[in-house]
Amino acid sequence: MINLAALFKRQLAREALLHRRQVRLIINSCLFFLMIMVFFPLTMPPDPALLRTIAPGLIWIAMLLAMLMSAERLFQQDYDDGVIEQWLVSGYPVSLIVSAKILMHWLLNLLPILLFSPLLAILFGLTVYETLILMLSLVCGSPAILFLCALAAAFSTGIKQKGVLMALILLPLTIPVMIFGSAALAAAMQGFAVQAYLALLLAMSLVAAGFLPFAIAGVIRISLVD
Amino acid sequence: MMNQFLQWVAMGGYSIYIWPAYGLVCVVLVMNLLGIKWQRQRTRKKLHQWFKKQ
Amino acid sequence: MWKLLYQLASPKSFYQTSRRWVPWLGGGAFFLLVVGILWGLVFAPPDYQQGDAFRIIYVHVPTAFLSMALYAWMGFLALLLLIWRIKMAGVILTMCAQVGASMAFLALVTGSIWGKPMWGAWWVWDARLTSELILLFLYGAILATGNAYQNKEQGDKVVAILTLVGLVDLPIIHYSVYWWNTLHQGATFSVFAKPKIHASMLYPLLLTLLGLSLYCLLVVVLKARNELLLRERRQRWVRVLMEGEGV
Repeated sequence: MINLAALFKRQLAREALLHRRQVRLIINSCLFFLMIMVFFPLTMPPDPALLRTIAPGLIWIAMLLAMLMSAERLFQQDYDDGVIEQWLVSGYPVSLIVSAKILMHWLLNLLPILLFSPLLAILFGLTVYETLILMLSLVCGSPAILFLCALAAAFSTGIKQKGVLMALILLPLTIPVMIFGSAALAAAMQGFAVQAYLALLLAMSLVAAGFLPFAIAGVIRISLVD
Repeated sequence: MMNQFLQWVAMGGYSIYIWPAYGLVCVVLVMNLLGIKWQRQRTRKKLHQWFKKQ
Repeated sequence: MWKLLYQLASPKSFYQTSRRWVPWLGGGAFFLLVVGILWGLVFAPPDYQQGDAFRIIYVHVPTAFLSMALYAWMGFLALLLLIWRIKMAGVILTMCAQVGASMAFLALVTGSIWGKPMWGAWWVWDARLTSELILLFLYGAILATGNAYQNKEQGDKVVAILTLVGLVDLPIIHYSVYWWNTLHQGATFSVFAKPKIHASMLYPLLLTLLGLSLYCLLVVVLKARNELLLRERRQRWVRVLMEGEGV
């Protein structure tokens, strides 16, 4: 039995390697994100003021949907390969393994979205300050969203008809993060102070990252043990 | 007499709101109970077949 | 009282004990609902401000209250299932979800119908209405998840986890929606500013509230009895019972 820190690091390395071998998955969710961001202005009157008004909500919705899409596959491959079964019998805490998996998934999926932020700034007419606040709010709030997506994915692994179930579960649970995330950028655009929003987002993410892995491990244990 | 009753049904002009609301509530409550009755019939059939197979 | 709880925890004795309750619950619910609704529709005086339209309160408030009370009860049952491993709690939890969803749906629709003559709109993004809508979505998620599992005991446990996550999230959701609403709309008027309600209007409300609670209890007990017959079909008492009923 290796100690827990070494286990965590090993899992992180494993997830990084898996993602590197299947880069197309990350590209997929990036393209989806871009698609939403580009199609919205195209399908509406190209009024700059209108675009600035909807930008906060739109960016967060696009991020939620992109994370939802990428999370669908979060546990599926490991379940099909029997890796999850190995986790359950290994004697190590499944919550720790799950945390490592989601953490690496978050890092690798968020990075492209952050890199797109300057592009979004140009498309929607955001200033440098607003772009920075956007990136900060995404960093603070997206862990909460991703952990909730992982919870929904755990519920729907091993079930045939997944897509609807995941969205249905996520819909109510992600509402607070979405409200405060989009409000952070909206406040920055109007010149209000944003520290409160960022602090709240960070708090939600920390709570999600701290407690949801146990719920996820519980769901995995219950639903994938026949 | 009839006049009073019709006045009550009219509910001061709000009848198109009140009666559909109450009607929907009654329908849902009754459907819940009916659904249980149908489910019990289905359960009995399922159990009957299962017992026969044993 | 502990004896009653022990009796309820085992499927067989739950089935037997609940048999005596069903006629009382049914009769009580019917009587209270009929008396309450008749009193509210016929005998309660019309409201000073809202005229006769306020009478929707007699179905709206009980359904809204029950949708939230049932969810809290489901949270308690979820704890019983996950921590104390009482399987009966899981059965009742799953049965409560459907009644709760009906109540939330009725609360939303009756509230919307009440809102049209009062505020002139079928829907406003008020904090409480939005929270009730989200509660309906939560119920929907719970029902969909429960139905997706073939193994019912697994389904119960997964639904319990989802219920608990939702229960913890519910205050956060409510306050964030409230905050969002006050920021974006500016308080137009307080939708639920309850002026002190006169006794002649209050009593029918209490009656319908109690009647609807008994109704929900009745539905949950009936559904649980049905579900137990299916789940416990390998037990001898089910076979004896069914043979007695000619199945």
